[in-house]
Formats: sequence, structure tokens, C-alpha cells
Amino acid sequence: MRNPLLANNKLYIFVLFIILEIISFVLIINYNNKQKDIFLYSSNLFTGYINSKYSNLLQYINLKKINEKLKKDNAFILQQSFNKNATKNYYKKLKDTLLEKEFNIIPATICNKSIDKRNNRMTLDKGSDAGIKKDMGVIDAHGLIGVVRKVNSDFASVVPLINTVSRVSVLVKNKGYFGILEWEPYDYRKIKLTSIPKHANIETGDTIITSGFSTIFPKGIFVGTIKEINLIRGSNYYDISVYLNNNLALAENVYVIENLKKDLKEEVEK
Amino acid sequence: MNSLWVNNIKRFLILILIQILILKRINIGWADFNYIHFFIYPLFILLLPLRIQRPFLLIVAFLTGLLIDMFYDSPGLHSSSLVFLAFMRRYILRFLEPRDGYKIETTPTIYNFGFNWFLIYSSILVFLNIFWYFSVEAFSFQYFPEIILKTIFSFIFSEILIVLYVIILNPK
Repeated sequence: MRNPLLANNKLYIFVLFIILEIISFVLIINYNNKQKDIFLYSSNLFTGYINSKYSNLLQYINLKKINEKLKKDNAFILQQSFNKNATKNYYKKLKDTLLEKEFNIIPATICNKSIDKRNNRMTLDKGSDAGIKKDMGVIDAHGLIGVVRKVNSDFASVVPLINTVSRVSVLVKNKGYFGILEWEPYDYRKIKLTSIPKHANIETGDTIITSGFSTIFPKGIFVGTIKEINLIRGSNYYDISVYLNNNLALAENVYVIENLKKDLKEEVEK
Repeated sequence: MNSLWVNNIKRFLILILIQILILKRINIGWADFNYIHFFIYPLFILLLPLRIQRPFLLIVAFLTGLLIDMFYDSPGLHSSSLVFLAFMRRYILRFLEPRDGYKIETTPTIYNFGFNWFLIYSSILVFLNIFWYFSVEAFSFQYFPEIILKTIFSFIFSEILIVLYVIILNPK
């Protein structure tokens, strides 16, 4: 026996129930931050999980490609910055793209190196096929690495700064004195700066940049800072220690600098 | 008829005041054990007369819940669970229907149906109400163990309060 008062229109009641619940939920989601956060979080939880897994997978697959692309981009930016200095003065009015380009940058990776020997070596994973030639400069994002000495089709051997035969021409920034970087074993963070005359007014902390006198490195690459200055009795030159800005032990991604005007310069210097 | 209205409004005020002035401030729990919450206001919906129209019942439940929400600073939370309780009330009543049916003018109380009947009736509905409340509060079944623990502890204490209230005041 059913009470007629309890038996209303079922659907009508259910719709009313749903409407009231929806109002409640709208209130909850609009005014209660916790539920709002959870709602957004939950709705993103599943899709977000799948998306992140998928993109992780893609990233891993494309890792090499991405890395390669980044290095190329970096090389392009470096190239632009070097060439800007070179062209600023001479080719301002002359918008000749052929003349504008003085340096070409080739990205490469160090695939073998030593840092604890007297004559350290590094090997790059690219060779003449990638356009690397003998006597090209090698840098990384923080400073100098060395100079290419030997090349075959796939690899290049580099004499790094931390090799006793390495000689790099540098400037004391803003003071104009130029000297030569030589290495004395075995501290790979420290390098000697020679040929700075006694009368030069230098201080510890002065910045050392490349001079651009040779055809190997463009002018103005930050090399390091002066750490110690000693006077050797009877000598006309300071004995200066320079701390390298980059850590050669950690260097991995490097850029080989090709000087497109090398031949022209060497021709007149003969 | 008139006294029925007055009684219900009085009960409404008493229950709301107990809830927001006393029970809201009680915080039994320590460190990680924060599972006990008291709910006495569902009793108001439980004790509304059987003959009340269901749409009206749902709307009353919704408004009561909103009023509680205003004091709890949680718009929609209590109203949602109380509307759910009001919606379910009819099905539970039908489920617990005595063999000879309900009298039209009665109210579901101990006085009319006996202690056991009321205990079952209120237990089912209060449990559903509290479970809904904590589910909506957590808003995700990710926290299912916590929801269950909160529901069980809160249900036990709330049910004790409700039964005590009904025994002491014995509404007709």
C-alpha cells in the first residue's frame, strides 16, 4: 500500500534534485578554493599524465636532434656577435653580406680529452667533413679551449690551452697591453700570462680577452681574470697567473671558429 | 497543523544554533587524527512530517544547507549533502515502511515508530549525508581512505548526538 503523498512525479523530483546539486556544486567550485584547485587538478591529472609521458618519450627520442639544433643556434648567435664587431667599423654603409661574414662557427663535441698531462690533447667528434681545418680556434660558452692541430675526415685533434706548446695572444681589457698565454703544468684552471712589460699598469682582477691579432680567435673573447702578479728579478716582464673562466675539465660542447679572411690576412703579413 | 509549523521552526532554530554555536567550535582530534566532525542539523530534515511535498522538502534542505554553509564559509558544501539527504529520505522511508503503511499525518519519530526503527532510519540517512559531505569536501576519490575514516568517525558521534537529542526532547 503506497502513501499517495509520498508518490510524487519521480522524474520531476529527480530533476529538482539534480538542479539543486548543480547549484551547490557551482557554489562549491566558485567559492571554495580547495575544491576549485582539486577540480582543476583532477581534470588535468589524467590528461596531464598522458601528455607528459608522451612528450617525455618524444623528447628522449629527439634529444640528439634537439641538442644538435641548440648547438647550431648557439653557433649562429656567436657568429653574429663576432661578425658584428668586425663589420661595425668598416662595412657599416656597405651592406654586402659576402663581406660581412668574417667568422664561421662550427658546433662540435669533445669526445676524448686529458687534463692531467704535460701535453694534453682533446679530440672533437667532427673533422674536415664538417669544415674543420688545421689552425682553427676552439671555444666553449665560457672561454677558450684551444687550437685545432690535426684533422681527418671525421675527427679533429685539439691542442688545448693546457698544453705546454700552446700559445695564445691575449689583451688586458681596457688597458691595451697584450701578452701571450702559456701553460705550466699541472693546474688546469691556472695559466701563465707572459710578455707583459714591467711598466704596465695592471692589477689583480683585470680581465683577459683574446687580442684578435692572430687569425685563430676573434677579438674580445673572455678568457679569464688575473689572479696573481709577480715581478721576477732581472726580468723585464711580469710573471702573471690567470684564472681561466671556463673549466676545461667539464667542457663538452664546443664551437670551432673558422676565419674566412685568414688567407687574406696571412697574405699581407708574409 | 499550526503547532506542527511552530514546532518545526523551533526545532530548526535550536538545531542550527547548536550546530553553529557549539558543534562548529568543537574540534576533537590531535596531530594527524582529525576525523571527528559533528552534524546535528540533518535531524531537522529527518523529523519533517511525512506529508511534506518532496519539492518543498528539497528546497528547504537546500536553504538550510546554505544557511549552515554561511556560517561554515563553505558555500554549497552542506547544502549539497543536505539536498542529497532530502532526496534519499523518501527511498529510505519506503524501504523501512511498516507492513500497514504510514499514516498521512505522522512524523518519523521514536514516539510514532519506536526506537529501533528511528535508529535505522536516522543511521542510514545520516551516514549517507556525511559520506556525501566528505566526498564532496575532498572532491576526489583519490582521498578515499580519508573520506571513509572521516565518515565513520563523524557518523558515530553525530548519530549519538542525534539519538540523544531525540531521546531527551522526544518530539512527537
